This record gives sequence, structure tokens and C-alpha cells, in this order.
Amino acid sequence: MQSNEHIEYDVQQRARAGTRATLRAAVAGYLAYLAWQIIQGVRSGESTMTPAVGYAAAAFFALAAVAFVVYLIRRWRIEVEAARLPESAQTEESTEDET
Amino acid sequence: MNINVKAFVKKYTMVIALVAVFALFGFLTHGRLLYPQNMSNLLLQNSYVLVLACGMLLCILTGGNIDLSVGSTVCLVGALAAQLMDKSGMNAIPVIFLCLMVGAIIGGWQGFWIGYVHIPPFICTLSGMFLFRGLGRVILQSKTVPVKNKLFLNIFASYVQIPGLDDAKKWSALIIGCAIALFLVVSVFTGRAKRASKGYAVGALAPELGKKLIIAALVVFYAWKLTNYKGIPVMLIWVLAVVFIYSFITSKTALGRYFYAVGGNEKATKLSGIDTRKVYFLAYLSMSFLAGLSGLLMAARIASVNGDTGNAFEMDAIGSCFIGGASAYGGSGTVAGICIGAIFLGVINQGMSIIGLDNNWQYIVKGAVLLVAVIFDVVSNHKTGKAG
Repeated sequence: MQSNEHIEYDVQQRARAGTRATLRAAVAGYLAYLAWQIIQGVRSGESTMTPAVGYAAAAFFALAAVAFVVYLIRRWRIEVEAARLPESAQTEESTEDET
Repeated sequence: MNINVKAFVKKYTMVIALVAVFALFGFLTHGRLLYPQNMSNLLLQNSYVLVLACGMLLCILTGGNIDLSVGSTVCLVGALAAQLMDKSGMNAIPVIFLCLMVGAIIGGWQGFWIGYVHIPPFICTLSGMFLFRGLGRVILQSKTVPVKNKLFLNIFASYVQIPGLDDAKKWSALIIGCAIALFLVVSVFTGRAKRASKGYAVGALAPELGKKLIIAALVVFYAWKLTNYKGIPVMLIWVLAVVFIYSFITSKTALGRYFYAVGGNEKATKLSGIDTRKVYFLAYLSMSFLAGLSGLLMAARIASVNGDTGNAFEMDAIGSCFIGGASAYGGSGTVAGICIGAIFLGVINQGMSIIGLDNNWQYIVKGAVLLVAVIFDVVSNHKTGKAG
């Protein structure tokens, strides 16, 4: 009986999954930043954009940022799970003597 | 035949998108986008993105890490350069070396904490973002400082002027453009001959030559536009130097492969005998060094520096990397892809400025472009399934 289940992953696949998640998080942050800048522009009165359009656009981008964050978390979980090595491969790897 | 078209479209999606955006804004601006002045400004206004994106690529290659402090480093280095030349009256050359050294020290500082102490890059560079912006504002004393040093402006913001050749029209631009085009075409044949002599398989000539001919034609077209304006901007030389150096490092050197290796499998890379801490250190050192160079380019371009200089530059660099295919390739992009992403955003920025859209509308267009890239990312992952 094992008290701690040790799970092996394909390291490269898992690393790629992490890289994609980080990039997607950065882009979600950029969308949120753009939403903030639009609101600032409307509030300052410098823009020719009507406030309704400005706030609607900002809300759309903010929602898109949140949706993309949700997507990236789900996608990351799927990709990490896909990187999991099958049990037979894990057994083989654990018995190999690595230098 | 259908499969070839699909494969072609998939491989060159970003190039096709760039051509489409160019055509769209060329139409919307009634051809003004193609005026020599605007074609020249297209590069000048986006030089910082190209330079920063090259450095950001190395950080991304090490495993999806990003540097959030680059915009603040641009401000700090620009502020230092402006104050040293304006208040202290220092000569431009030592100022340039000093400022580049400051950029490298900032990169070394962050690289040390990230590479050797294993502070998460996001945390380290986020704190750097606030720290260096604050320092920049302290140096500027919350004022806008002009940059008037003629030597400094000549080194970064002037145009190539060859006496006798560039007196009326700037023929040097066209001559150099044609020389580069000729080199590109000849390199196809010499490369093929070299590969054949070593016994490697050589593919069909037509696609390879066709691609190089299109690039050569674009180079000559751009050179012709520069000829009809002020000639080759010195900033173009700086940008091309950075792009070629980083392209060479990432594709032709062992050091460049180390960045890919660390991003792919850090443990295996370490076991291979490569010092992964040094790789992280170098990635952030080079990023901040390039941010310092961008600071000098911006200071020369705008001829002034204020506390908001460099705002959101890191976002533009990351956006270029994402749009340029970094996500499509699972994070392992190329310098060419990054450049296409940067030029793509640059064409949109330039087109919107020519049309006269105010900042808010420009944010909406930028956001829409990002959303298209996001949707493309989601749809392509949906099609490929788990493995991605």
C-alpha cells in the first residue's frame, strides 16, 4: 500500500503547458489593462468616444480577460493531465538506474 | 493540392495576416500608409517593440517566463541619459556606455535573484517594474527632460548621409536595398550547392527561390520608399543589428540551444552538464540590456523623457511574441515570428494614427486584434485536442 502516490510526467510536454499558460495569462492581463485604459480615457474626457461605447468596450474586454483566464486554467489542467506518463512507463522509469 | 494549400496557410498564417492588415489599412488610409514618410516612421515608431521582443523571446524560451520591468527600465535608462546630458553636460558617448551598463546591471540584478536564488520571475520583475519606474521618476524629478545633445541624436535618430550620393535623393538606401536583395537570391543557390556538396538532400528550387524573391522584392520596395524620404534611418541599423544577432544566437549557437533546452526540460539540461542558473541569468541580463538600448532609442526618437516613458512597453513586447506565433508553437517561437508580430502591431498602430483615431479607439482595435489571436489559439487547441 502506497501512502504517497508519485506521478511521473513527460517533462517537455508539461513545460510547454506551463509556457502556454504563462503567455495566455500575460495576454489576459493585457486585455484587462486595455479595458482599464479605455475607462481612464472616457473619464478624462479626452476621447471622442461616447461614454456608453467606452464602458461597453471596457466591460467586453474585461469579461474576455476573465474568460481567457478560466480557459487557460482548464487548458493547463488538460495539458498537464495529457503529459502524465502511463503507469507502465512510470514503472519502467522508476526501475531504471539513472546517472 | 488542397493539403498543400492548407499546409501553406497554416505555416504562413502570420505573414498572410500581415499582408491582409497592410492591404486593409492601405485602403482605409487611401494609400497614405504607403507614403515614404509613413513607411519610414513605421519602423521608427516600432523600433522599441522589435528590440524588446527579441529579448523577451529569450525569457519566454526558458519556460514561459516574462519580464514585466522592461518598460520601467526604458524609463530609468532614458531618464538617466537625459539628465546626464542635460544637467551635467556629459558627452554622449560615455553616457551611452554608462546607460547600457546600467541596463545590464539591472538585468544582472534580476537575473541573479531569478537564476540563483530561484525567486519566481513574475514576482521579481513585478517588483522591478515599480522600483525602476519610481527611480526613473526620482531622477527626472517628475519633470519632462528634453534631449538636445546633437551627437546623441545623430547616433540614434539621424539618417545615413553619404556625400555625393545622398545630396538630392537618398540613393544609398536603394543601392543597399538592391545589394541585400541580390545577396538573398544568390544565397539560395550557394546554400543549395553547399548542401549538395555535403551530400544532404536538396528540395525543390521553386518554393525556396520563390520565397526569397518575394522577400527581396519587399526589401527593394521598402528601400525605394526610404530613398524618396530621408534615406536609411540609423535606428534601422540598430534594430537590424539586434535582430540579426539574436537570430544568429538562437538558431546557430550552442548558447541559443541552451535556452530552448532549459525551456523544454530543465532537469535533463542540468543533467547534461549545462548550468541552467547561468542560462536564466543571461536571459534576464540580455533583456534588461536591450531595454536600456530601447530607452536610448526612445529618448533620441522623442527627444525627451518623462515619467510615463515606456508605459506598457512590456505588454507590446509580450503581445508581439503571442501574435507572432509563440503560442502556436507552444512557446518556442523564433526571432522571425516575433518580428512579424511586432510589425503587425506596428502597422495597425501606424494605420490608426494616420486615420486619426484617438487613443481609446486604438485600444479597442488593439484589443480586438489580441482577441482574434486568442480565438485562433482556442480554436486551434480545440482542433488538435489534448496534446496541442
